Amino acid sequence: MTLVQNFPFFSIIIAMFSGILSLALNGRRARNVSLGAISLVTVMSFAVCLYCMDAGASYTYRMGHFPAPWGNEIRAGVLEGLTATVFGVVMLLSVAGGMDHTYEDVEGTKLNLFFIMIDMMLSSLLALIYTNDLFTAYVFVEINTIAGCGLIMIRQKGRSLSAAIRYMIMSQLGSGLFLIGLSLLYDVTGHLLMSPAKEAVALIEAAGIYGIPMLVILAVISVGLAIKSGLYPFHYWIPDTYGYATPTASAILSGLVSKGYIFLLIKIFYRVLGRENVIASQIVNVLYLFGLAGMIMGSVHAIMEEDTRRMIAYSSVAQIGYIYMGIGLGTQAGMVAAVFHMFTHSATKALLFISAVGLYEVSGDKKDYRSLRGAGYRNPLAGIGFAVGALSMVGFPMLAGFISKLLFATSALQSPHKMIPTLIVLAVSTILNAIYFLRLVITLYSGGGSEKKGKASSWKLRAAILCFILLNLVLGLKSQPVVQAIWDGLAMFD
Amino acid sequence: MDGNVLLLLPILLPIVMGSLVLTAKGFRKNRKLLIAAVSGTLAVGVILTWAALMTGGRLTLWQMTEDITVALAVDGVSRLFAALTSGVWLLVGIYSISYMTHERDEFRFFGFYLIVLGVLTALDFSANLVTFYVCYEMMTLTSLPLVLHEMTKEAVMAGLKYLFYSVAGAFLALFGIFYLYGAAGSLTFTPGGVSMGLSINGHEGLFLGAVCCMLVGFGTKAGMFPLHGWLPTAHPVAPAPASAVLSGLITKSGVLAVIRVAYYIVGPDRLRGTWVQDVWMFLTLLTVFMGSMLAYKEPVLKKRLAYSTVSQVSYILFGLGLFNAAGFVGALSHVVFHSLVKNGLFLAAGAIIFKTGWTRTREMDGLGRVMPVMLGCYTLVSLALIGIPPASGFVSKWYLATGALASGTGVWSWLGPIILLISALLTAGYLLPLAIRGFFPGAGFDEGEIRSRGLGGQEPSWLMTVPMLVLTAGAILFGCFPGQLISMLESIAAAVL
Amino acid sequence: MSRMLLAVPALLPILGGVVLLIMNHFKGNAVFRYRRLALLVEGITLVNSLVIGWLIVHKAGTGEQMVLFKLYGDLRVMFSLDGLGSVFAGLIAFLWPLAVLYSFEYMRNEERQTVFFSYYLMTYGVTVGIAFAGNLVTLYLFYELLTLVTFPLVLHPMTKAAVRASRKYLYYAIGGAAFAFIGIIFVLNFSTTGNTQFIPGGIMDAGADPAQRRTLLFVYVLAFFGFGVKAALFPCHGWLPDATAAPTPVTALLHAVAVVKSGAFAVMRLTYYSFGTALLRGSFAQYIVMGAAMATVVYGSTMAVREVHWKRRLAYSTISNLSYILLGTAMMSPLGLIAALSHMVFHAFMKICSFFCAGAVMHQSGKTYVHELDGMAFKMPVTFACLTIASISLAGIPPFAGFISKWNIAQSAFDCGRFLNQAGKGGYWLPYAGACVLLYSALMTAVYMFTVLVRAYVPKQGTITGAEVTDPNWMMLVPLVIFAGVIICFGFHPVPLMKVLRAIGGKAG
Repeated sequence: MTLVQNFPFFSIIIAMFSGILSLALNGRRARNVSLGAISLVTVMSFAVCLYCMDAGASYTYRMGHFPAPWGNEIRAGVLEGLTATVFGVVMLLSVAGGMDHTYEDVEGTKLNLFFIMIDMMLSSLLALIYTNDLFTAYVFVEINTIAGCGLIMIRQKGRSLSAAIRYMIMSQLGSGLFLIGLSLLYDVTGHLLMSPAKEAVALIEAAGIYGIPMLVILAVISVGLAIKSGLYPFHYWIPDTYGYATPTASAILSGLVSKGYIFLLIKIFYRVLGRENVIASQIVNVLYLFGLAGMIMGSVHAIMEEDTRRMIAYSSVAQIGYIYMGIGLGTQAGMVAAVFHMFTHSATKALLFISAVGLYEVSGDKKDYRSLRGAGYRNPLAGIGFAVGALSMVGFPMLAGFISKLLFATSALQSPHKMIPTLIVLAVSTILNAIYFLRLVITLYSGGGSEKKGKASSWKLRAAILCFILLNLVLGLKSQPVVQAIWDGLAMFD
Repeated sequence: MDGNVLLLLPILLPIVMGSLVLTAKGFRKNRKLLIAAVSGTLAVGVILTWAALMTGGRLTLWQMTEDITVALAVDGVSRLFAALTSGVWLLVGIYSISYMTHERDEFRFFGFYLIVLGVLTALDFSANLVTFYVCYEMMTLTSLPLVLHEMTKEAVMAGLKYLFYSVAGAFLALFGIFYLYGAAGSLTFTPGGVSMGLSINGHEGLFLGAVCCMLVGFGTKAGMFPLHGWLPTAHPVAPAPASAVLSGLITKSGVLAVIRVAYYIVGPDRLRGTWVQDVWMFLTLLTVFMGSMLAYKEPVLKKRLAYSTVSQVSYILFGLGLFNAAGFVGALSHVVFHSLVKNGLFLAAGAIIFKTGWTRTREMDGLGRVMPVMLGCYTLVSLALIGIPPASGFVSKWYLATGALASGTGVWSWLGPIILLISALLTAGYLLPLAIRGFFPGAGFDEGEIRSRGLGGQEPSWLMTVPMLVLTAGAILFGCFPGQLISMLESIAAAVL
Repeated sequence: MSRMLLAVPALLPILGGVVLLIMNHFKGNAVFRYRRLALLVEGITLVNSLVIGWLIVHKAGTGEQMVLFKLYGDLRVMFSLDGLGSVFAGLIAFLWPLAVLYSFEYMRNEERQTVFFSYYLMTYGVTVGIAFAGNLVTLYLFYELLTLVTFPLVLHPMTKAAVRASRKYLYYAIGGAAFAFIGIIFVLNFSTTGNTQFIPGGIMDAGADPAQRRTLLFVYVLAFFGFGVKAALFPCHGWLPDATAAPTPVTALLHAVAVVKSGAFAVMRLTYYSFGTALLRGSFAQYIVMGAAMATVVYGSTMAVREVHWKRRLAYSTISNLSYILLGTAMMSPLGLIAALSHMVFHAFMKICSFFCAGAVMHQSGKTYVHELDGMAFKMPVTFACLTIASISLAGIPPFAGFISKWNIAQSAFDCGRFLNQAGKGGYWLPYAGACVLLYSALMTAVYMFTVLVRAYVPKQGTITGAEVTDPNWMMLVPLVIFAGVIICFGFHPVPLMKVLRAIGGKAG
């Protein structure tokens, strides 16, 4: 066993220990530890990804010596490594960029708690990515929820608390459904590890027994995770939550957390329930329809919003819809498109939130359209960053969003029945996105440039914006290797 | 360019001189210079036209597309029209030297007067349908300023009406040209018609429809129903010399268009006996009748004359629609006679306005005491128009009637002459009262009163009376000695029928 | 090395504009005195036009390609110059320096001139990018970029109307591109070459399945409307009249020439070089797009007559005339392409001349409504002489250029009608109706252009008020006169250009 193969395990452990360690440290030290951990994890994940690409196969890694059917496994492949890398980068930039606002929003004594939550979030995301058994998955789902709540609540201003409570309730609903599904699955298959569970499921399907329970399991797990990732119509909690957290938290929550759950769902589809079964059960069609609905309705709600943060949050609902549409197509190509869009959206949404923060700074911290008029001149870099993010959402060529659209459209061509609705909804969604995003961009730049430049944002914020823009451009122009990696990763995913 | 350059000169000279008159400041200041230039051009123009007509031949100007050229040529019809145009233009030009002293901005009038002459000559010399169309449109645009000359609100409204009706008619005709370009072998004017491609077989409906469009479209300029509405508005509102040439010659360009289309492109054999001929007969006879009726009821003299034009030009079109030699001869002779007569009538009306300021016929009792020569000319040309022998109108009407009876077009053969007769009566009704009451105003007339009412009320100057006399002489003499003209027309008819 | 030259005309202005923007941002408005700015921008524009001219003469049709970068997989962003592209590029190259010259005088007293000119310059580069695009993806990229660089120009006055107009423009343009994108995906998927390259006659492999063929035709219609948004096709034309809120140089060049012609150009590429007329001719798709073009012609002309604001009237005229080009394209034959191209070139001159005249009047006297123009022609004789020529030409009256292109379109319509009739298709009457629509529109054009002229040449009640209004200075006047001269030239001497167009049409149709 090479050193690299240990990295997934190390990543999770490092993240967890950083959190524990930060209990004893003060704010600044905790921050350093956190940043260090994230960076380290990112590098390690990248190494894992490269290793698996070289090796051409994924590998499993048993933790402890508990045999099947209990026990604890980690599985690492190209896709897992790549996802973890992307998440790490986004998290790093979000934390670094939003640092000054974090200092403002969080009381000094509670600062280390913030970073503990960050670390917990990181570790749970990693675990969701790497885990190969269902029980661990559930545990870390819960840890994720708690970390998320903590991140929201840490702000301790009125609406944050109610947002956190709403988040908790919806999340628990989702987790609860997920748990029910897991229990039923264990009941029926007698396994908690994913691979043996899959064999058991295959036997069951072959035997033709347990038809209804399997369907219920499928439905309940899907709905549970759908609630947690914000699929329409289970999205009601999103605008409130994302809108009222600190910038870093908003970026992480909208950019990463929902993706983690979607990743888990994909993993369960591939590795436990089996792709063919999933497709045969029509669940994908339901997800497809909800995805389409989300694409439209999310944007429609966004158009009606006056508060720009809530608008960006509703945009997330629409984008999650894209991903589920990709999954719902039921083809490998559709899945690749969905995964690529996960990456794109993480990077772009984080960019949008961070840039928005920069714009709010020079507009008296107000978030509505009127106050933001001309903000693009007051904070040029944030304006450009927001514009780039908006254009990426609309699908402008040379930016990441275009490649996503391209992948979705080309994969749609392979499913004759879903082809036309997908393409039409894609086009309509582009228009809707244009309406609210570009409306804001115009507002940012109208008002005549007689605006003087406001107080400059901190260098960290500006650096973060620049890095995100770069990331978007890289994904837009040099996407081939990434997409190839996703194909390879999916091929070795089940 | 290759061919007979002489053909270009009678076109180019007036246009160049006209443009100079419009732009060079010298002409605005110095009236003598202006008059000299204008009369000189007109005179030289007649000579050049005569030279061009004598030498004949063709001239290619430029390539419009790879297979359409803009070209000029001289044949029998162009001789007739060009000679008529340049001659009358000279006479009316001399008249206007005197008349225009009571208008303003004379240079603008004369400038466009000259340009229109050039364009009309080009129209007469056109060798193919596209060249014809180009000149046709140009003629509309260049004659517009003549209608607009007075610059009053009325003039503007009339001018716009003229413009839009003409353009609408031209575009309607253009549809036919589009069709024929694809269907016909060539668009060059050939006596008797050009050969048509196979594509019209089985599509006679579309073909005839296209021809009908061209008829109605080009008929606009000739004041044919249904697009005649501009004529009674536009002709009266222009200065008298302009009204004269508008009614007398520019309407004939519409006639020329119809001749070219029917006899030199499509060919009478393809139209005789078809529904197009029936429509043609109907429209022209309707116009004849309607025009006469409206003229009879109209109190303003110039407008009355405009309605008369509407009616008379449709005589010509009627004759053309008969597709036989007699009708053709009658039509073309009426072109000549009506030009002479209508110009004469308008010049007289203009003289009245110039000398007395009166426009309504009711006011003009006893005019003969004051302006006997002018009113005498008016009376003579009226007789010509009505068709009383030996004046010229009788000759053309005779040929038209015989042509109608011989045409074999069913109901039109006898309806035509009847309508012509009724119209002749109406013509007498609307033209003669002025003459009668002018010479015999009846009891209760006070000569002193009329002298004091008017502006000195005398005979107009020789510049105005001489052209009138010449036109009157022409109108009468052609009636007495029509032989040469008729034989020339018969030879043209033989070529196309 | 010489192949790299293909990329220069597109990239040089874009770079120039970006550099100008950056310098403006860091040093403020004071960095450029107006004259220096003017010389710099005009210089870049002229150099660029010369390069394009050289390229057209030496490189057109050589099939050389210049790949900029790979966007994704087989999708390359590349330039190449063929006949169609040279016509468009040549047109732009001729017009842009003159338009820049005009704008200097016009924008002399406006604000934020550096920003304005930098975007103006960038638009040049992007439009050339569209002309030089070697495949559909490159076209799409520059198409989207065009929206991005032109909307700040519409936004420039920063008035409420301008903001609203730029928003509308943006939505429509992006919406159109979104539907065009669907077309691109299908071309990519069903092409014989595996990429989206432009080849005369198209690259689509429809296959034997009629259902698939129907789907492809449906997608073509979507893409036609998608690209047609920029070409102001009904019902996606709504942005164009509002965009007249922008300064005249913008409206004239962009919305009468560059942006809308790019839309028409893209439709030509889509029809003749991507999908191919063999697939489309005689199908229901042809009827739909032909009908849409005809409807737009009627709508545009009719609305123009009713409109009393001069620039908006000209905008509706553009909508109508653009659909002449689309109508020609919809004939799907060599004649149709030739006709469409001839009108593209001629209309550019006629419309830009008209808009510049309107702009000159606005600049000198502040009058914007048609009824305010009484007697103006005597104060600004040269301007109105040019306008007269442009108007006569627009109405399609010979001997000016407009007649030639209308003639061509009508002939292509008749030819298409004959072809459809021989092929036994039921809708063969539609092209004939198209010719009628053309004539109706010509009449309406005469109405809405000539009423302006007559008003201008007839002063109210014989008095000419306000003697201080005169013709504008040489910077605005010279382009006007040149444009009018070109219209006359093309009217009398169209054969050389038609020969070039015939060569293009023969290969592609």
